[in-house]
Amino acid sequence: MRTLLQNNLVWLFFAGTVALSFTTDAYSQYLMNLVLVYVVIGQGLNLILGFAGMFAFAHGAFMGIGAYVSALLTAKLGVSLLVAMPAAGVAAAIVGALIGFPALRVSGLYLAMVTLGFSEIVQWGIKHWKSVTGGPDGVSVPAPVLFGHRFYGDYPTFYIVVVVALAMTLLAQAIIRSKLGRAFVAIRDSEIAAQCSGIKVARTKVLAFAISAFYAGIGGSLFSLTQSYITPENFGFYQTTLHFCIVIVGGAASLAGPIIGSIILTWLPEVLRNAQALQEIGYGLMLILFVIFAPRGIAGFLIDKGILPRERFSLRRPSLPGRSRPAPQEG
Amino acid sequence: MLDITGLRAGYGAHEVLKGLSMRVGKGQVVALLGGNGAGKTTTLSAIMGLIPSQGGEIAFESNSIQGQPAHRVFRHGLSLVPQWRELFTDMSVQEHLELGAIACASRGDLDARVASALDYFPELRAHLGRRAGTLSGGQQQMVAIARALTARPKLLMLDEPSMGLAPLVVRELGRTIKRLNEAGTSVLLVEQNMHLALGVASYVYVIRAGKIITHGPTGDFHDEKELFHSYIG
Repeated sequence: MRTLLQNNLVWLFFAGTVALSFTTDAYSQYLMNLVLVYVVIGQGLNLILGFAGMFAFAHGAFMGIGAYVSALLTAKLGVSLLVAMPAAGVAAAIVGALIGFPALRVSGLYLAMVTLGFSEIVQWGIKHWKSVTGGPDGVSVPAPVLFGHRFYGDYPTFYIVVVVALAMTLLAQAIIRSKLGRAFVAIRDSEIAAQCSGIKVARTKVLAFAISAFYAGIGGSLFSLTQSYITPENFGFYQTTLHFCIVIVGGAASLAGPIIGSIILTWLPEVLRNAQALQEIGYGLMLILFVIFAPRGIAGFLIDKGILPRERFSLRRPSLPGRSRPAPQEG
Repeated sequence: MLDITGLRAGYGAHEVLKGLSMRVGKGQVVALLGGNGAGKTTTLSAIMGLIPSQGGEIAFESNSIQGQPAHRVFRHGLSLVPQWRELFTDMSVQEHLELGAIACASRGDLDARVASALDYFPELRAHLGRRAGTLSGGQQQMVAIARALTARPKLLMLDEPSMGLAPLVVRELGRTIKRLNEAGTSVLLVEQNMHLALGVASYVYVIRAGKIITHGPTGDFHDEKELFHSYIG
């Protein structure tokens, strides 16, 4: 029975959210929708950070690109969400692939700096390209109409968010189990060994960026639905830090990690609602504590205790990106 | 099979190989001997495409592999077991073997490749679920070689496989190299351990300061002391 539960945790989580949706008030439902949005973004960041071992610090920007593409297509051009959401993912993926090229030359902290710089440029662009994005005034997101039904409000939006979040989580699971997923892990652990095993390191790195950005783009599209109104401020450094916290606190290189992280990091601000200043300090403190004392996050702890099953290619000892050696240096 | 002519390669402005020429014939075990910093690892890295070569020619089965990235060189049928094995310490033995074949195998084919690689190292069957990082040095070397074998290479390149291993394990390693060769795999063995190299190789090259200073059939190098002094200089 326990094994059955352990092996179906993803399904259990999503079934749980559906069951809870019948009991929640509107605000709790809104928070649950946000949890699912961050599950999508977290799974994407986990693919590049946890599995491929690259410090991409730009998911706030990728999310922003997705949110704006989706919102502008539906609000200004009247495009269906069924087209706008994939377009949001593809737009973010294209930008992600372009940003992936610097990843071929730099790694670790330098890559974090490059992607962080890109993030700031995107936010600046959204803020100042007023004719398209509305600038600091933002964009109003219309309630989507799908199959003749208007999805207005937190409860109807939930059904879109939960279906997409489930699909994206299952896709992440499929990627991890595929050849590509194994190539990610090989690059994370030893670039030399990966190259010697015939893995196209450059292509795999760019793909990791594109796929991860695709997730953030889809997440951005979902986020815009939950907010009804988006501004550039939604996609700044704070957002990127939040994504990082979700993966690190939840547990990198584990499918369950981003789910756990999303639940905690979405509800934490509610707990600290009366102490606004503590929220950001809380994130920073949490990140520091987990990186130092529990780099495999809560999922890693639960896997060690046998509560969660060990997933393929998950980290089994304290480890974060930066271990991979890019080139031989011996004579 | 592998023909290298006038190879020059190094790291940035630092040239390590200064016109190296050597060849490995089909079905041969060739040893490349040399001291620290002589250019042994650089030679293998340049052949495998891990570092760019600055001149000369590398041909495999009469096709130039010069300047090709490692994944393309790999597809020609060359596999490298890097120095210090470069294992994925968090992964199990099984995961290693699967990773070794991911570039060339379908799921069904992958299982067959893993099984045939394990035939050379039956001891690993008992440790398939174990983390590679928890294995002994000898077992780790077995995993590294088995990982390379899952690609079914035509030419297997081993970079100082005896490093850090007990004499008994080194002897077993020598036997495995011979078995691999008998099964049709050509081997280029880079070593400092002359005893192992002379025990398995049919032809020997000696490298010093990026150049081949002497070469010939193994039988020509019966005086290990003299050979040692030749590459120490």
